[in-house]
Amino acid sequence: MKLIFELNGDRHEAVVRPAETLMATLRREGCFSVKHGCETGECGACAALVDGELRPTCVMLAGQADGCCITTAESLGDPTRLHPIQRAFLDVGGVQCGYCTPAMLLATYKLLMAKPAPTEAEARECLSGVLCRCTGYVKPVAAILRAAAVLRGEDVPPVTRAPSGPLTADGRPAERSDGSPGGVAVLTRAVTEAALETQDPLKVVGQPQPRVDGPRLVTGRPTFTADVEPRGLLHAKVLKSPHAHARIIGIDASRARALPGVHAVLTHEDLPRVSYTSAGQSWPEPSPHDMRSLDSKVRFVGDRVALIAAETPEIAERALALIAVEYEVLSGVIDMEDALTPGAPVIHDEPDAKGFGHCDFSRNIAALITASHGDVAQGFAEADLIVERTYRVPKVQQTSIEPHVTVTQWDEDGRLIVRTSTQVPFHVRRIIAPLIGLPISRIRVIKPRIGGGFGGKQEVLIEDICAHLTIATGRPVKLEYTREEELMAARSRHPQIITLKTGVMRDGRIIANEMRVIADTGAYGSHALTVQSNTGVKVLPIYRAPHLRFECRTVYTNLPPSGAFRGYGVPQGAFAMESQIDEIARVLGMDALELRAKNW
Amino acid sequence: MLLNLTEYHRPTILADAVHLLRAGAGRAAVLAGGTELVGRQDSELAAVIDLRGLGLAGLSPAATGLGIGAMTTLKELAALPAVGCLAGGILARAAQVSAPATIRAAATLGGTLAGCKGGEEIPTVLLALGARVALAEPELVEVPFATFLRDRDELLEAAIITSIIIPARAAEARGGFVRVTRTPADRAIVCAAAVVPVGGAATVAVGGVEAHPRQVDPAGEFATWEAVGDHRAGAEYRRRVAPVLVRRALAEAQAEAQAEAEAESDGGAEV
Repeated sequence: MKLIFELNGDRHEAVVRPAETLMATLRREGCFSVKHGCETGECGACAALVDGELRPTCVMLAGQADGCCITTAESLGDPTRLHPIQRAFLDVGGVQCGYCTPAMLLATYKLLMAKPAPTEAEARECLSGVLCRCTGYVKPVAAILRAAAVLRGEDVPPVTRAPSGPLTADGRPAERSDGSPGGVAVLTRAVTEAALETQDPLKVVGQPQPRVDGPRLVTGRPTFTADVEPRGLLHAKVLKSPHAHARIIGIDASRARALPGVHAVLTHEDLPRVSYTSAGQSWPEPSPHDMRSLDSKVRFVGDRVALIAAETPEIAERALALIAVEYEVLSGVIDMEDALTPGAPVIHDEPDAKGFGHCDFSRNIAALITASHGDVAQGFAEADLIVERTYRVPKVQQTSIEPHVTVTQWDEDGRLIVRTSTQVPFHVRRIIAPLIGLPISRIRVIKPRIGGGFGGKQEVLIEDICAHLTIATGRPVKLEYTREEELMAARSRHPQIITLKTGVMRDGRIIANEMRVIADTGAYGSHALTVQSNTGVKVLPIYRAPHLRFECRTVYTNLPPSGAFRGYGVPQGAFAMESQIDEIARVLGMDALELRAKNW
Repeated sequence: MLLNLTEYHRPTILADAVHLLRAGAGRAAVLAGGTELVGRQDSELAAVIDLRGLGLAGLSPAATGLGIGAMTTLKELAALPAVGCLAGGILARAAQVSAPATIRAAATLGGTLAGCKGGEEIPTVLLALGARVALAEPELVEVPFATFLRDRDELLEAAIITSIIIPARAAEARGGFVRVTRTPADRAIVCAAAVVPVGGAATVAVGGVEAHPRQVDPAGEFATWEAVGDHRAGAEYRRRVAPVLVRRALAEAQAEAQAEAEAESDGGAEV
């Protein structure tokens, strides 16, 4: 169907499919500032101004924009001529990964055109619906207020200090008059009020520096992984397991291969069997090599069954339904304590899984850690009081606004280019080489700007999929996870059950501290050993005691795999330990801060 | 992904829209804002009927009260002065808190009612207001709100919501609206709306305890309700928090009455 609309001041005519979203149309028209973060309009990364309203374009059909006037961030300015709003976001440091930035800029533009002097509450409300996982909103709100001041023609001093609160005349943080503790300000102080020192070009230490990639990010330049359109690009989809634990007895992809527009369908029968870990770690990776690109067994709902490359995402989606799979469904475990029970189903019974350290596949143990200092038994005997509590940390995801996305293609020298949203480009190159049978010298990994990772992209998650499909088809291939796929088949923090047993004296001295952990690494053991090592090693020694002991079993379950998430095992342990200290203080009738100080 | 969507209609006559819906035999859907429909994973849907060209947004004439067009966006609903004045502004407030600003700019009143799944804010308030739903079959019919909630899926197979009518008595009443949420910007777990007409008995509705919002006797018992829990809150929590919210919603409406009375007496005749 034909669409006529105004885009950034120009008249556009486009032929669109009825099911096409406005987001897809805008990106096709070259507006890469409109970004994919979800498919339900909830993250706001795709928001554009449509007839003056900021609306999520992933939940608008292109047809809904017929006759409309659309504005995207590209219209605000370019890197040589930034709009004051773009300048303000850069100046205060309100841009981190930059993925949500275009939407924030449009929201700000809309607000300031209507309200030149917004209150802080109005500035906050204007960002409603645009989610940011990086900044915590303090700096974007400061940016909005600063931009408002600039647009009103006010004299705005340059930013020479990170805005974190009011300053005294000699540049030191002022005491807060409302008596609240320092640290996170509940209300944002506009940078315009700060009393700032004059700039000296040689005094750069302690001063905010402009981001090298800032202008690119605030002007919505195509700088993220998906912002390329190689000629002949194919779209990949993964057929995912509906079962938590099953063997693939038979798989027939002939009907899928016959669908017009499908260029390749790969099953475990088509690929060499090479064990690896997806964990982005230096070699020898301290995680079990318990994964294959495609296996004849599936170990969680969402696990890979087959890979498809087709001319459009819709054809690929249709082809998924045409693959006939026969499963032998096995009983599984989704509770980490059940996984440890003798007789529990063995998740990694394949003969070629390679463990690391004290791995025991037959008991679903991906990692076993013990460490001690002194003798806790002796410590408990000497203690006046023993406090033992159990703490639980659930499965939490990094949820970067940009999902996992990879584009692979051959270059003119017969090298495979892997353009991917990753935190670990060198590990990607080294880890996929044996999977695809190419030497490292023939693999080039490009890591563009990424829209957040937080550990979720410290993983070689989908690069091998695209690589296999480019090798099979000779064509560029893109795989971009949907938000559902992110939640179902990416990575997360390791859930843990932490039991702390602490022996204390009446005066609050900790004599013995024992931490016992069961951690759930899900179906595959990436980061199973190292995350949990941190839980003990980085947390137990914080409160000094002559006797310490750490013991951990990281177990496999038939759940989506856990991986790396900012903090890397410490948030779990620290939560437990700090809660334990508060508990001990309550039992002893002591002030909790005093108890801590006694044991630092 | 709407994998098999092949037809996009934008009728300019209401009767045509209804006929397209019926002709679709279950594979056609009405497209209002799109915030719910376009985000679905649906390979059955073959046709959408865009209601943009039918003039169903904004206030509509109604003999018996205030008519609000079904294509009015939630943002507009929260901002219309006529909506802000009715029943202490509870409908405007419900619209304001029911979704983030980006969704509110697109989602519509009709779409919200067509897709409401549980005890959301807007249906709960409309129930307390005694609203009626006007539907085009294509002949216009009006249905009491409770009936609409009960028969919604069947009604919407063959009819399109055109407007909501708030009876004048409710529009002039005082109102209270309270909700509990996990975070300030989240959807309601449980909400309560109280509408107290001048010199009349209160009408109270509670959403988020049973599958649909329900009217309650203000002094009523919640122990017998068939509470439905989900990942946000269990059934027991909802049952126990509901009477607290009812009390607060009523108190809010009474406080409004108090304020009005004081204002009146301040402006009273001089001695």
